[in-house]
Amino acid sequence: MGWLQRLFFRERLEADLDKELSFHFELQVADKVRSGIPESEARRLTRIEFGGIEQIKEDCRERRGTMWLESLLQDVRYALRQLRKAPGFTLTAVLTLALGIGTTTAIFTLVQQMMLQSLPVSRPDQLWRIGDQPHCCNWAGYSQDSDDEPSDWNLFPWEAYKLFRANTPGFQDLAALHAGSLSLAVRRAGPLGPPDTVNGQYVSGNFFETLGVSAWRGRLLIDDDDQEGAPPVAVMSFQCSQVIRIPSALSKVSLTQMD
Amino acid sequence: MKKTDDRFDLPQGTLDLLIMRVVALGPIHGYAIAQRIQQISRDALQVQQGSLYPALHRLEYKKLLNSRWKPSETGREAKFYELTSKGRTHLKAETENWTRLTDVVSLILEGTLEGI
Repeated sequence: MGWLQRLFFRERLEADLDKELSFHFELQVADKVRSGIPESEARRLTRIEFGGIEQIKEDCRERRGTMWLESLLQDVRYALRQLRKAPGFTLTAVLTLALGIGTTTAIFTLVQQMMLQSLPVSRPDQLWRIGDQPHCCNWAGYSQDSDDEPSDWNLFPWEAYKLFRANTPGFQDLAALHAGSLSLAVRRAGPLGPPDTVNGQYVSGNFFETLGVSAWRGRLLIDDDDQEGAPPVAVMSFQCSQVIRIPSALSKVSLTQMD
Repeated sequence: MKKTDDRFDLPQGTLDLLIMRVVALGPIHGYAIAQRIQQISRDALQVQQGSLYPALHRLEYKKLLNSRWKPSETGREAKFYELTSKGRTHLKAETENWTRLTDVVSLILEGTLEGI
C-alpha cells in the first residue's frame, strides 16, 4: 500500500489493527479458559501478558508511518548514486530537461503575448472602451450601478453615442454595441426544420470596420446597414456557425427576433 | 521474547525469519503464528504480541507478506498472512545466510583450542 493510500485509509487501518489485536486477545483468553482458568481471571492474565495494547498499536503505526520516509530516502539516495555512476547519462538527461523546459517556457511566453493576452483584432493596442467600470456588457436591468458603486459612465443612449462619434476627433472611429443580448431564431434555407436559438447583439454599422476584422464568408456590416429602413442583416460568428452546423458554402439563413 | 529458565533472546532479525518460515506453510493469522513458533520450538520461544505485530506490519509493508481478512476457525474474521513471491525469495536467501552464519560460528566455537 502506498503512503498516499495510507494517509486516506488511516481510519480503516486503525480499525483493522484494532480488530486484529482484539482477535488475538480473545483467542488467548479462550485458550486460558479451556485450560480451566475462570474467564475473568483469564482476561486479567491476558491483559498482563499483552502489556500495553496501545504501545503495540503505536509500534505498528510507527512501522507504517516512518517506513515510507525511509524508503523514499533510500530511493533518492539510490537515484543519486546511479546518476553519479553515469555522468554521461546524467548530463544528457539534465541538458534534455533544461532545453525542453526552456523551449516550452519561451514558446508559451510568445503565445501568451501574441494570442492569449491580445484581442483578435487588427490593432488591439489602439482599442479603448469608454466607461468607468471594468466590466461592461454583461449587464442586466436598467441601473448603471455596479457592485453598489454608483456609475454614470458605462452605458450610453444611442443619441449620446452619435454625439460622441461626431465630436470626438481624438478617436479614429467610435463604434457601439448594445448592452445585454437578444434571442434570435435561426433557420437554414431549404427543408423546414426546427429553428435554432442563438444569442445576438445589436452593433453599430461601423463596428467590424472599427475592429479591423474581415469576414470569412459573405460580408460584414457597413454604415449603410444601420440606416432607418435598411433591410435587416446579421453577422454570425464562425463558432456559432459550427455549433448549429451551417454548411461551409454559404446558404441563406433566416433570422427572427424572438423578444 | 519472554525470558525464563529455558527460554532465550533471539538475535535481531531472527524473528522476521521465523515468522516468514511459519507463514510459508500456508495462510495463517497472528495468534496462530505465535502458537506455532512456540510449539515448534518446544516452548523455548514465546513470541510476544508487542514484537509479533510490529514485525508482521513491517513485513507486510516491505511486501514480503500479503494479508487478507477471512473467517477463522472460531468463526470470527481474522487477518491471515501469506508469503508473497518476493517473500519466498527473501526467505530462501535469508535461510541460506543463517545456515552459513551458524555453520561458521559453530565451526569456530566447537574447534579445539589446541592450535592457539
